[in-house]
Amino acid sequence: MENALPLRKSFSLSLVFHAVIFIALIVTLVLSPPAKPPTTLDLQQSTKIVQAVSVNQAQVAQEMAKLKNQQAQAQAAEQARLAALKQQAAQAAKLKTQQEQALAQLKAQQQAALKQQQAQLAKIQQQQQAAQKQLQSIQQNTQKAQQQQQQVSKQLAQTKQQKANEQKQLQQAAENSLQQQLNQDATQLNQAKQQQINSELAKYTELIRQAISQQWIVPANSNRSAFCILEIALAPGGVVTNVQLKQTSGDPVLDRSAITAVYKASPLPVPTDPSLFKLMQDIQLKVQPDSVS
Amino acid sequence: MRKLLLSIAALTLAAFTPNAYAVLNIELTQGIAAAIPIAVVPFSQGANASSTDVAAVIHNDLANSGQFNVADNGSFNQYPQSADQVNTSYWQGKNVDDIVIGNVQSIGGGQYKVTFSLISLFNQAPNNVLLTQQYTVSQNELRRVGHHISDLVYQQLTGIPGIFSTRLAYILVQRNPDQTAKYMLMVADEDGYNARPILISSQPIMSPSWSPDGKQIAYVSFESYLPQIYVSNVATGQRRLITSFSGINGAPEWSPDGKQLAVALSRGSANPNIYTLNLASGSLQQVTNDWSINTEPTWSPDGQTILFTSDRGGSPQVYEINMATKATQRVTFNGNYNASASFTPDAQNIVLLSRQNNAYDIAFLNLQSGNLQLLTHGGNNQSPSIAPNGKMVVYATKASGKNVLAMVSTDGKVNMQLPDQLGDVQEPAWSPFIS
Repeated sequence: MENALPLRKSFSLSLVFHAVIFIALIVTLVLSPPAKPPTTLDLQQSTKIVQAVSVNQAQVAQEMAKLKNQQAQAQAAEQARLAALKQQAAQAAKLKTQQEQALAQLKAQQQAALKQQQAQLAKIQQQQQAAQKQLQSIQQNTQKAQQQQQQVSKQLAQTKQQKANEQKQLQQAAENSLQQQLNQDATQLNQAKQQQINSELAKYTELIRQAISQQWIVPANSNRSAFCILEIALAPGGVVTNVQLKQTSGDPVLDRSAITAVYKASPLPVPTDPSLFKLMQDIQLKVQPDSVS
Repeated sequence: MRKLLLSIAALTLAAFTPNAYAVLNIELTQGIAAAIPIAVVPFSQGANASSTDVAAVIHNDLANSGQFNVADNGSFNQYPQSADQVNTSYWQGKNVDDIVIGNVQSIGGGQYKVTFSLISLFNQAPNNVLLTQQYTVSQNELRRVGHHISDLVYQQLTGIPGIFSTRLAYILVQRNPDQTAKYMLMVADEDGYNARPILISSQPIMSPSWSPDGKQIAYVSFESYLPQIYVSNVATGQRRLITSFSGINGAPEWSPDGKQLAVALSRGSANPNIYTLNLASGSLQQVTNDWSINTEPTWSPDGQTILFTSDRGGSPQVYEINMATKATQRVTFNGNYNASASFTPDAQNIVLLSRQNNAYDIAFLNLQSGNLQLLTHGGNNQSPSIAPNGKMVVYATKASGKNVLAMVSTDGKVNMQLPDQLGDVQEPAWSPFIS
């Protein structure tokens, strides 16, 4: 659109130029000397002139000078007209050169602008890529910090798949991505929760072990290789509701010392979170005298 | 790494739970070494109360055993007589694991009905009643019933046989103002009660030793002014002379099978050697044969070796001799006086008298490690004799210028004096289990 205007301008300029030349040619044709009369006419005239009257010599000279003058005048006018024409042509050529120069300049300007635009575009793309790269690295770092290596690779695969989906169908990809994001969030949440559960479980296992240990009076004569296994049922809050001897040590004194220790340690330290407690309400305790403090 | 461990723990946890039903597995290997906290509730006596407080006998037995921490019954305001009357939380509040309850009822004719139960406060009914028994006895058997109940409770809760029905033999010396003295071979209950003389003499009596069945006591008597070895029947007092060799006749000790006595005889020489005497045939066999003093023989539980005291190394030390090979080895190396040694029933340790820093103390030597542990400290003690369950040692000690009996647990934690006697007490000997 921008270059349409100079194009039309140059077109109309050339139209004017041609019109000028055309008019000049018409003028030249009209003003050029008349063609020689046909030969037959010439013969009739000459015959007539010779046969009739004699001619006044001075009058003829005068007539000839007059004609000659007329001819010179016409010639000078023609020359002036030609000079004017020439000047006009030169002017037109000059105009054309100017026009061409303007065009070239315009073109150069356009190219420069295009180049600049392309450069800018490339720069933006580079920036975008850099930003994306940065985003990716940030994501990777976060994932690394949050997850085990196995989980990281799993997530990377998930992310790749997600990207592929995005490229296929933008709309769907957006939806899919959202869904996946949600799923991923849920997975991450589950993993985090599982880790928390495990660490809580480990903590309370140790607390329970300590609590029973502090109550367990190891029988003086107990065999160090003997052990019994108890099944302990807990109520919320850690109250020991039942202790069953699942496997005897063969030494009733050792068995009872263990059972007594469990009941004495009641209520055992348990988590208040009901879902966590559910994992601890049934305990299998192996008791083997190894050391006393 | 920690997360890895946790996940391993989780995996392990998962591996332990084959069912969807989650079971938490815990392993306990460490506990505490402590006396078992117990309460002995005073028994109801009813009308015609006997003078014997059976519950008090049980209370003292358990308290003196070293294995129990018996609650002070002055703080009780509940006195259950049967299992269904036991308020578990009340007694748990007294910080005890078990309680002994019971009652003594006079049923006429000088007879008493004694019932008792041992209740665990940390086992649920009906498993909470660990023991329950009923006895009908005469007035003078009430203490024995108390000791018997103590034995049952002790065995039930520790797994070790109780020694509360065993007895002690010892020599009681009463010195008169006219310079004469009365020497008595005494037998008493393990707690010092019911002391009675087996033999009374104006001349010294020494070195009592129980037969393995607990029915006879061998000893040295100077009644004929020369040492002779006799054996007396505990129940009847009947006695017989065993040895009367010239010189020293000393330190009789029954073999585990009851067929022989190990003795120290000088037989006319200056110093005694160890011999064994077959009680049925009277045949004598020499065990040691040298010019040093060799005395105080005691048998290993299997009867294969004999421990004895000898000064062959320049100072009194304990040696062990193999009866079959006569191979002898020195057992004690701590200090320059170790004597009066005897094996624990498991033959893993010996109890002896050891002089450390000019004090004579009861010591416990682990034969495997060679570790010598003093059970008493800075005392003036003599004649250790170990209980048949290996958990207590009785010995003679000086207190307020008198010789009295004392006991110490073999872990050194409980040390107590027995009731005072009218006179000086010497050379206690702990009886075997008496059936």
